[in-house]
Amino acid sequence: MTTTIPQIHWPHLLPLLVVVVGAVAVLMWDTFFRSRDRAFLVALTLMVLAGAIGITLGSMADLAGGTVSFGGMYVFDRFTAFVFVLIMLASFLSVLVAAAQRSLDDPPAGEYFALILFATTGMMLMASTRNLLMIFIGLEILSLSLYVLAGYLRSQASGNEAALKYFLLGAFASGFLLFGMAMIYGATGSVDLAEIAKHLNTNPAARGPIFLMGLGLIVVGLGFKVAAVPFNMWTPDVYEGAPTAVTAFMSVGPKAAAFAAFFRIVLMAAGYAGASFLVVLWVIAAITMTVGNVGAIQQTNIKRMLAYSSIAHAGYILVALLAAQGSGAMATAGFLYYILVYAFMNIGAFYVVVIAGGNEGERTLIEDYAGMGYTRPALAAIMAVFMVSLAGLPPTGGFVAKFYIFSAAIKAGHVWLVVLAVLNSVISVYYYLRLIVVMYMREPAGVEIRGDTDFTGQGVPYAFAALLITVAGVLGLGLFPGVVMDFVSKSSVLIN
Amino acid sequence: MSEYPLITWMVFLPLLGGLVLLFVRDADEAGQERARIISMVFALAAFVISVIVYLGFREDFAGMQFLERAAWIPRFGISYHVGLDGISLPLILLTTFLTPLVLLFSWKEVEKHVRLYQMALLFLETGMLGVFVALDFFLFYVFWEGMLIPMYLLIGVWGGPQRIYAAVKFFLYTMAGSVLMLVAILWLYFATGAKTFDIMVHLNQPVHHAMQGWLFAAFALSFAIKVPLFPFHTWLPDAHVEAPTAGSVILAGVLLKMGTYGLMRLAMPLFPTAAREFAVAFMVLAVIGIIYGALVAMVQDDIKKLVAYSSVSHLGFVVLGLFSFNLLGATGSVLQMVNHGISTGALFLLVGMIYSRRHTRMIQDFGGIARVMPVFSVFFVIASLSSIGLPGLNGFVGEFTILAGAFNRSPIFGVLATSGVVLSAVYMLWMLQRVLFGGEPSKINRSLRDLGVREWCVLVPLVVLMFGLGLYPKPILSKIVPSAQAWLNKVNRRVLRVQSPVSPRPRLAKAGSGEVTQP
Repeated sequence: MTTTIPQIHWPHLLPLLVVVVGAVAVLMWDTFFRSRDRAFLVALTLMVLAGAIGITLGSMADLAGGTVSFGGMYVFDRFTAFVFVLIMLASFLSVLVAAAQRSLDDPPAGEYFALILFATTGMMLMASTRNLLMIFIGLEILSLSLYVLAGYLRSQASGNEAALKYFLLGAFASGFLLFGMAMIYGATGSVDLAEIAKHLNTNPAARGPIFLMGLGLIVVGLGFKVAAVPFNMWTPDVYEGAPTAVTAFMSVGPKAAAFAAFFRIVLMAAGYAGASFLVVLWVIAAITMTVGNVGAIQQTNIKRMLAYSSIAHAGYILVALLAAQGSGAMATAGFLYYILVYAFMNIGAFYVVVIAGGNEGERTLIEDYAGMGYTRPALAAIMAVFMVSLAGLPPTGGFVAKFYIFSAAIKAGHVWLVVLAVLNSVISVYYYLRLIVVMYMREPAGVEIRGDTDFTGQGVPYAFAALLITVAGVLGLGLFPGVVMDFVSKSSVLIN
Repeated sequence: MSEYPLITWMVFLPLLGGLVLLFVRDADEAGQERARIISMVFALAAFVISVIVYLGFREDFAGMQFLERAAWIPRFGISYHVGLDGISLPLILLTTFLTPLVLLFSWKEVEKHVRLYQMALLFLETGMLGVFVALDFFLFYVFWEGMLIPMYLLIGVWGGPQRIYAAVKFFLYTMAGSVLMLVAILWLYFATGAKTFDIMVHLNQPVHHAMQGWLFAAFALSFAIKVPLFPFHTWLPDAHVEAPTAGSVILAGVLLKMGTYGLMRLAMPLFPTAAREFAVAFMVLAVIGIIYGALVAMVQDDIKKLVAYSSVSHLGFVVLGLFSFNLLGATGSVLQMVNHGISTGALFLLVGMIYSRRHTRMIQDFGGIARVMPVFSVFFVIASLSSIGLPGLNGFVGEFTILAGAFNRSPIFGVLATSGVVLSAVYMLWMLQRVLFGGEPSKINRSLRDLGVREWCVLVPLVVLMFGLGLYPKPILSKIVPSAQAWLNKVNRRVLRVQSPVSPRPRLAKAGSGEVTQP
């Protein structure tokens, strides 16, 4: 038996290394220098992320097929690179959000930003591997950071509740995920997706119940992370209880990472599971959309509303996941486009919530937004753009993203699921537009969000930057989708 | 044709105006006045361009004119492709004509959130014009849905007491229909293998008739809700009653026509076989709509609601004409779309004028006001007679042509529809009698002012058109007929031979086959 040292492509590891080193640096800086200078830590975190994004984009230019390092534990293809950029962009935007939320100042800020970077590392690991165990490790790094972040405001009961709930349920989900991986290992003798696929290809007997159960348990574990029904119970409570900046962070990045891992599994191995697996995904997608949208209708708290909305959006992305078998590259590209738009519009919406709260704490009741269209016209108009985009109406990115995903699904032959999805988006229009109703069609009630807190306080430059980036992203991706579409479809081919 | 991108200018000038308004502060009186002037300038500019287009329109050519095309999303075969023919031209003129009028009407009527109001109207105009000129499904859909939001704001912010309910209902109804159309569009894209969203390409390459049924149903449902065809009309009375006057005028004048236009431009010629199979069903619904709308209009106490239900009735004529599948019916339908826009637009404006004086629209609150407001009454009578279809006024020409077409197709539908004309005379004249004439004006009504200069300016152009189109419709008919004939050839063709690469089943990857395709 010979031992070979697996190949390592160091340049392609660079983005990951930068983020890890950056995370440690942020943590250490805070510890050793006892720096209370939050602005510096924010700037450092942003620089780390921007640098890593730059490196990733740079390495995409001459990336032909992709490289495999550590025997498949780390794969860097265009798909990886795009998801990296996406995850780091989402982290970047949510750091901007956090920079404007002053209440996060209380425990020293260094930990906060270090945790964001560690979580980012975990997400990147999940997205850049074809090894099941690495997916699990990435997921754990992410989850542990998120548990802490969810309860970051330790003096608040709601935050503690959110963190505990998230932790308990998350631990279960991780257990299921690991159990599923063990079963797949049992059925196929490998944790490497390429090996698994090879084994399944040559041994039809291995595609039996153990393999299917393993796959099913993986669906449970990842389904928990993306908040697919029926693994969604934590979402509203955690989204509501966590600080808004954290909610913004966990509504996008972790979803992107978990879906990226999901796509890799589905594209590489799940094809052998046959029609029954597709039926399961079909049903999960259908109920996820419906539960999310119907649940959102009756919410009175904007964070809970956005939580249910994020469940619904997970349902739409599941449609793309389902379509990945049949229209492969197009569905993958659709997913990438969708999650990119989603990052802009969702973080943007949470961002408005943070700014609307001003320095007095959080203002999260939908009623608080009454008449905001006239007391703070700019902020309300921006929020309206995000709502229209979340609802999937043209001419915003949300529409093009849905268009992309639904195209892929129709190409793959899932016409009825698409019919269900579009009817769901009609339901969603009701609650997204309700915010516009409250902002524009109701008179201010006296406790409204006043104009004098518009863009004041510490986070002024961040406020402008974040709102500008997100609005430009949402509108740009809606009006001129051509360039990005070419880019995502180039990024949709996975290395085997 | 023209080297200048006239259509693009026409469509996007209002949008540009709306964006300019973003930088105008409307906190004080002067700022509001500025906002009004700016939006009027842009709306008039769009109107001037549409007149230039009208003058440059070639009557000897039935196809699309003033074409402009640029790649937009090449990956999906989506392009910015616009153009117009004799079917869309009258509707475009109607849109650019009505928008400055409602802006003028709102000059003094709307004092709340003036800037946002003007912006909503301008964005709405761009959306409506875009729908009429789009020759690409994607572009069409973007305008089609994009226009919902300004209309939603118009109803919801400046509407009556139940405005929010009405606005949401309007939005959800329309949206529910149009998303199914989106699915059908996507299916069409993949199933035909044409790899393009260009409407012209799809029009020349009809899909196999085995597939037409579902696709036609999805398109037609979307448009039937918009028209609105009975039994999808329930959003209309709510929206009309709650909308501000300008919203009602635009809604009745233009938005409803987008439904009939959609049937005419897309649903019927794309799926001619299915359209012919469904024709009787549509004619039945149209006739029900004509009679039902008229009967319900008869019992309304609210003038605005009466006019709203009369729209259901009048739009039924348009659908009847379209599904008659003959030249008379098609030409009459286009004409009726324009006529209804003019006469119903005028009626809503008149109702708005009296409402702003009395703050009620109930028929019982009026009576005998012809004595105090003679000028108003003259305009009201003319507009009502035009709506009824009195010979010599515009309504007659369109309705008569449609009825002739319907008789040609099937006398029974013709007879039934004609009863709608009689009923419309009943409800309109009865209303006129109760509002304008019957008895002495009450004390409070005696102090009503007659029309001011601004209101004259709003109404005179409409009345001129009523007489103009009623006495001499040729300038507009001559534009419509060649395109209507071309349209008729399209919807009457038989699709039995399959020569194009069109298979009865969509060529889609089979789901559940377990293969992972990587093209």
